[in-house]
Amino acid sequence: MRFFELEKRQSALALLAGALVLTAPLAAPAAPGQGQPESTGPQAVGALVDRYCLTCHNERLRTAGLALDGLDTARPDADPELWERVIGRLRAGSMPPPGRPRPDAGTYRAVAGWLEAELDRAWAANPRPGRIGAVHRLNRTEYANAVRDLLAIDPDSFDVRPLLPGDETADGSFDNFAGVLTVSRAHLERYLSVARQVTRLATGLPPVAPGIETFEIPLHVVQDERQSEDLPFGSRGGIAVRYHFPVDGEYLLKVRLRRQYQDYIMGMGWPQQLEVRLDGRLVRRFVVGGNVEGRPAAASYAGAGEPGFAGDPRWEEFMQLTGDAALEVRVPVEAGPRVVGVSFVRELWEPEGLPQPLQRGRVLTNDQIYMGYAAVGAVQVGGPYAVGGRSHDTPSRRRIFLCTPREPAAERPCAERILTTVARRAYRRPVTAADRESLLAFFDAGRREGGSFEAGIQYGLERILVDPDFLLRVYREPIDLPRSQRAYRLSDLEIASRLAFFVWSSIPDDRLLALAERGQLAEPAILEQQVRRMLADARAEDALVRDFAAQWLNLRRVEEVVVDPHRYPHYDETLLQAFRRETELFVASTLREDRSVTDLLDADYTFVNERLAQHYGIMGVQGSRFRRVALSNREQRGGLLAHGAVLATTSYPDRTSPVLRGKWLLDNIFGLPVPPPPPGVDTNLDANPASMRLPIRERLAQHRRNPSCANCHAVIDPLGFALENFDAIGGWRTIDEAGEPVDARGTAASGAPVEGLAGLRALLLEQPEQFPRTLTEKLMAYALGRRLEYYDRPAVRQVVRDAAPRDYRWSSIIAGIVKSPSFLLRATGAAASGN
Amino acid sequence: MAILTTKPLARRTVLRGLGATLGLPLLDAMLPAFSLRARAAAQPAHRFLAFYVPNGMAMEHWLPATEGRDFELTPILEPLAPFRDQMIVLSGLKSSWNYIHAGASGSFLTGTTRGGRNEVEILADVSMDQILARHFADRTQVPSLEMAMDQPNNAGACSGQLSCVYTHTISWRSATQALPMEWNPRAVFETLFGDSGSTDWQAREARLRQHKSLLDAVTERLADLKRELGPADRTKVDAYTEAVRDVERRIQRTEEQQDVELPVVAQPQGAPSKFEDHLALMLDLQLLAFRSDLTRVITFMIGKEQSARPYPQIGVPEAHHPLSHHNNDPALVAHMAKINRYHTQLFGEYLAKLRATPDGDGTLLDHMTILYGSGLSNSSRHSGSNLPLLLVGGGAGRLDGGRHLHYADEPSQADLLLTLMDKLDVPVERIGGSAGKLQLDALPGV
Repeated sequence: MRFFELEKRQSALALLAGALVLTAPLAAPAAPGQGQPESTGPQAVGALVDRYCLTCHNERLRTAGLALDGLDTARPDADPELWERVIGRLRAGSMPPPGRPRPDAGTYRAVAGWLEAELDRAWAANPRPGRIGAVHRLNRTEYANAVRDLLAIDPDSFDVRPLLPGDETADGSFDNFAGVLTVSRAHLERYLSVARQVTRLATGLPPVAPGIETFEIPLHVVQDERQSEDLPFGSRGGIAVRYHFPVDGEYLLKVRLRRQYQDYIMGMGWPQQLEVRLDGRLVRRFVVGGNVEGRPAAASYAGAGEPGFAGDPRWEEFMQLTGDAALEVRVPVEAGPRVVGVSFVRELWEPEGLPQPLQRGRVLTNDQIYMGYAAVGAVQVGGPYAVGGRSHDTPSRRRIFLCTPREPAAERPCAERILTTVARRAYRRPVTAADRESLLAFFDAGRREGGSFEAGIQYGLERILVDPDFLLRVYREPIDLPRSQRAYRLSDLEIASRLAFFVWSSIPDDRLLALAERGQLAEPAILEQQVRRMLADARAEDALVRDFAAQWLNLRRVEEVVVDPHRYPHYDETLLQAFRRETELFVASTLREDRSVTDLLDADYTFVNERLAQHYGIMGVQGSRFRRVALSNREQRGGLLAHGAVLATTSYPDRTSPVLRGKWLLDNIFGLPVPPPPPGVDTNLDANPASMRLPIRERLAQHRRNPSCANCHAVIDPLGFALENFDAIGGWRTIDEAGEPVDARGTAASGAPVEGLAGLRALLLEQPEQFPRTLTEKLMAYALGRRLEYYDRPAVRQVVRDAAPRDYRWSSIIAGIVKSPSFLLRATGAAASGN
Repeated sequence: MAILTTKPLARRTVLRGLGATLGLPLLDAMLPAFSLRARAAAQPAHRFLAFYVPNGMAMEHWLPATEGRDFELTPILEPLAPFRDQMIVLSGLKSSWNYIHAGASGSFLTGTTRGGRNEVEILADVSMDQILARHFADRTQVPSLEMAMDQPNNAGACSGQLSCVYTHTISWRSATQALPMEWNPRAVFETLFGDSGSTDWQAREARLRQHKSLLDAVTERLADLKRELGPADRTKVDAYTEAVRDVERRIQRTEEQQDVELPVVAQPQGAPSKFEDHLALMLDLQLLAFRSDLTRVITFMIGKEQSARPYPQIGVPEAHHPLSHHNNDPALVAHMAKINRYHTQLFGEYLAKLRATPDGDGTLLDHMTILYGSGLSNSSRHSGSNLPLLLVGGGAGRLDGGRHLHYADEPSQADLLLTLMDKLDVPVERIGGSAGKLQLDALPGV
């Protein structure tokens, strides 16, 4: 078993390694005597295979586990899996290997095109849509969005995601893949707990006990600027917190100031004004600092607690404990989502300080403890205390309570109306008599135990949120299909759900559901119209950016980036947040403007604030607000490949990694996935002191001399070299870590040169359909909630082909995916199990 | 917003300059209100804890050179000196599935020899803690707790293009179902005491009744669903149904054991941002669960495998995982050793609490078997040979501590798991790829 596994991995590795030899077929020299494209067709392909492939790929040698002799080239559709592999090699121009005789570029294209056409024709006549598991659990994000859409609870004000178990994923996949979304006891317990919390919040019932929630500001967020659009002009630092106040009542707003590595509150040496605001209205202004008594510690105190270096006890106590103890205010607040703002009043001068490298972790290494700016460490919201009588009108209550019973007899009919309305949308199907009965039973029990109409509604809603029909997307195969049938069309309701979870990461809205209930989604024009309508909704931009693009482009890894503070003293968390924001805004703009997806690589604009503009060397941008800027230096910026988020997440803390960058490019931009290193291989670069001093390029060259590494790294590393002008945090550089001038030249295995960002872009855009194809593959896997397999390739090609005349605009690709058989059909159980 | 405590948890505040300590960690503050159920007469339960440390070990600072009873305490083991008599250092064992980082954590308690072939295929073997959990399910309210210090992230970048479950958990309910590990102390609290926001029995009971009604409704729908689906599609519904039964069983146990006196504990509001505060809370919750006999099986990862957590507070600003690829550079290995030693130090503080907790005729530690260690040795080469492993605790009289046992013939770590099941009196035929049992008690010459 174990050997079998290993062998399989290795052969797969060898195969993929072949695919990786990235060449520009157009530039590849034609072998002598092969000047003219040969005519295509089975004979020509057969001749070509004989001539160029069989030397290695024959039954005797089976190089890379592949034998092409004895294949019927007249019927590629007899073995689509094998021929899709061959097409992959041809499109990448990677076989025959460089140095071996190979046909000219025209022949490559003609043969690949003919094979594709053959496979696509067979597929069109008899599509293989794949078979997603029958049960597809909502992931955390989908759950949160569904709660938002059902109960009008804004995820920014009340985020359920941290309360639910995480959804596992891996590089190259998405957290909505059905296969890995399981249900365990832990999931169920969390669903029970969260269902109660959100429904109490939504109906305006007080939480079971008052509590305190803390909103921490990460330590390395610099608070020298206005931090948020929700904070006043002329403010500095602090945080704006969106918080859903559950009921009318009294709440505690408390501020904890930032402490440095000795737990001293920072900036206490002089008075500064701190404001607490609720929805922009000033609640209280405090003066902090300037009132410390006693002898302070030495100004640059950096000891480990040795007596004599510290201040006297009064000073120490104030600096560690009492300095911010009084920063709290109790206020009556009406229920609903509100913004709690905490910020300082900006001074007209700035403290001058010693620049010190930042240290990542739990402490701030900053000895400007006394005369620097004070900063906010955390904001706490506690309550509700002294709960008022009836709850104030909130968006949630307006959404839920469609009626208000004036007399006891009106309660059940009203409850039925409320609960069935929510249930229909939550279950994404018409409500049955059994549903109705169950919901009313829960309403009655809740009404009885809780003593109010609201309590009954709350319990009924809680019941809805733990129902398998809410938590699971279920694909039900019709029972009466003839055994010969290979695939069937999903029901309109299933398609509506699939579409809504794809475009919105949430449940369908009323209109979509109504169309599905009437069976109208079968009409392609109506389906396409719905796609366009949904794309125009703000939820689409939000979901496709924060779920799809964030996973595709590493944005969820940005906060995990660790940077060596000695090498990059200018790095801080504010910069990392800006990286993420830039890419989000950029992708969102391409979606909103329905641009060609190739603009993602080649845009002449980006989004920056002052901090990021400085980092990128863009002049004239002031303030913390992000804005769109036109780029004047396209050699250095423009397109995703020059985004800080991508560059920083593919680097090590202290140096760039051409390997990580090259691999990321191949996986996510070129669409030529790289296999992991084989097990047991030492993946470290040579560590002897002499080679440690060499530039990374030369160390990697040694690496590539090792034959077991060379296959893949000959392709991976040179692409990474092209981005060597960007340092480990995405800054432009001309001198590398070793102190040498940057050499951004890479050589693809075929000999085609690639140099710098511009060269890389040109290489990518040379074959116009290459990047749209990669994006379509990623997006389709995300849309289907499963890995793509070889039999999905024709569907991807069709989407890309259809999108070409429309310039590969986002909408054309998304609509193409939705209309494709892979999206609308499902293989039957019989077909999938090979019967 | 959240259901939270009325009083904030005591947080340790150290007046470093004065050298004075104010405030107390959670459990100490709770103790006055805590009265242990009178169980002295009963046979104390034998508990199991797995304490996983990620990214291998700086082996040259870990491994004692001497075998047997006279082994010397190396720098990393030195903080465990007070527990030497209840500690067995194991060396020479090899990972049953040595595959980059995924295999390290993936095989740690499963003894598996396999993994999926891609990011969606999830395949290992049932883990030893889950076999125990099933065994104890009739006796304790919570069959097992799975806890970790890392938030589950969706960031990808997991090991060898396999699903992140391999590095994020060590607990497997079945060959295809990896269990999520909970990082949020509040969720752990709710698992132990329910989500009524209180440890008061009346409030809990009312909530349990609601849970039962809700679960009945769920069960009914699942039965419908099963009828609607073909046989091949039912597997996941079965897993769901099993999860429902787990919670129901748990409710039943809780009702039966309502005389278990629970401490009046404030519900934690979330995870503290300081690593040490968060850890203290997670370990205190474990202590609480063991001591009230709410569970007998806990798995814990102080860091997910391949964790990149830096430790600047002990002078290691480098990220753990990249640092573990130290290329055997002595300076970097020394930094790695600092992290490893910090972990044993924190573990030692936990052991001290377990030893300070009376249980039956001895202490909690006397009645525990703790497996501490990593699924890699030298992470720089992703080596799965000579794993750094410890057995700690009295093992309810079944473990003879104070020894370093070296196995020269490189047995599989799966064999250790199989042997431990014997020690825990839940013998099984096989765990993952186990080939046989290890000699733990009397090796020749020891």
